[in-house]
Amino acid sequence: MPQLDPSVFPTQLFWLALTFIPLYLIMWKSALPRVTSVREARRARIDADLEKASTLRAEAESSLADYEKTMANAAAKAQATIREAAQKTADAATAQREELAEKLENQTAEAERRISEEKDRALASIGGISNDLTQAAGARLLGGDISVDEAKAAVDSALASAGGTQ
Amino acid sequence: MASPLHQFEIHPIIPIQLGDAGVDVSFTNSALFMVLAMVLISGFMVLGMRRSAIVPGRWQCAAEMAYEFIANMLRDTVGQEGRKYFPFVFTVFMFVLFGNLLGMVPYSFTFTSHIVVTFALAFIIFVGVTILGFVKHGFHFFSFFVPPGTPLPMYPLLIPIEVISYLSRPISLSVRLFANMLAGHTLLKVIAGFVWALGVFGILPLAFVVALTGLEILIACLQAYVFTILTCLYINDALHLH
Repeated sequence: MPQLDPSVFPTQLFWLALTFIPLYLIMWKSALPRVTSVREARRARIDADLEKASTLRAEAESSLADYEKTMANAAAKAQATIREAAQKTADAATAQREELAEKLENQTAEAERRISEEKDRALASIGGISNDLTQAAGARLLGGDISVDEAKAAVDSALASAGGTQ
Repeated sequence: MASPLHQFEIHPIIPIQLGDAGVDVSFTNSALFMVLAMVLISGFMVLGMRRSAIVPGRWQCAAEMAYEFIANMLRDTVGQEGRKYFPFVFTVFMFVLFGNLLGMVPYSFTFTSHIVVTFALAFIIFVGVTILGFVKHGFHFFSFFVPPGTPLPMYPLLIPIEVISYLSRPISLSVRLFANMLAGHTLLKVIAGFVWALGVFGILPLAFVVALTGLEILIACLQAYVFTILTCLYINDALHLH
């Protein structure tokens, strides 16, 4: 068996040392530190990215809250404005209606007053005409002069009885 | 047909004599494959990491996976204190793995099939781990040979057993790797010999050799793993005793 030939031991050991030791030094000093640094850089990068993401998320959440608050405020304000406008309109309408009603009432009162005035005047003039008529009719029918006062008293009593029956 | 052991023979490529005693340290086929392993591992790791990208390419990913595999193994068996020995453990793993896998290339030479090579590696590990144990624990390291909770009358029996099992560590570590490589390659060669001998029916051993080659590749990786994890366990023993 070639493995048990002691004559090849020195060369094997010599070349094992000559390859293994440099390989160890290369791995130790060059190759492995590179892998370590890359893995650390990667972990740092991932951590930083995650942190950034969580910061951005918090920021987004606070902006959303702000936005919602602003929206709620604006809605409340709009509601208030609408209510106020409605109130103002309603007030104005009420005032206008009241004014109109008052005006109409005044006009009605005025009209009624005038009507009663006219009525009074008409009644008064009716009295005058009746006097004359009574005087004339009396003179013609009775053939004598009837004084103005007599006629007037007759008319008034007639009017009074007529007014009483009315 | 060549002897199945022919593949393990060592031929000088460049004869070198060292010193007055004329120690033969010729550059041999074994040395060639050790140099090849060293160059391939260095190339794999150094060139793979040359861009050191945050988002790795395939090659860098493979180099990082090798790193991670050994780093996890060391962390699981030894813990955080083991990080100092990571470069050594990593080098041992890669050297044995590439030695085993290069041996699977037809017409190549498997330097891990030589007991002197595996024993030298195992002996360095054994001596290093023992020194580590003494540096860490001083003479208290001898308590390693007394399992905790042993009754006093058992000491004369147990201590020799523990000492022998400790001293046989480099032998078991080196012989395991050497024997696996030797047996696998010899078996492949023997069965490959039947392919010619059986003529048309040689197709059967040929199929067997193909299947066995797959198995041998598995064993090449597995033995590198076993060699490395035992190294980790020995380091753990030296650091934590029991």
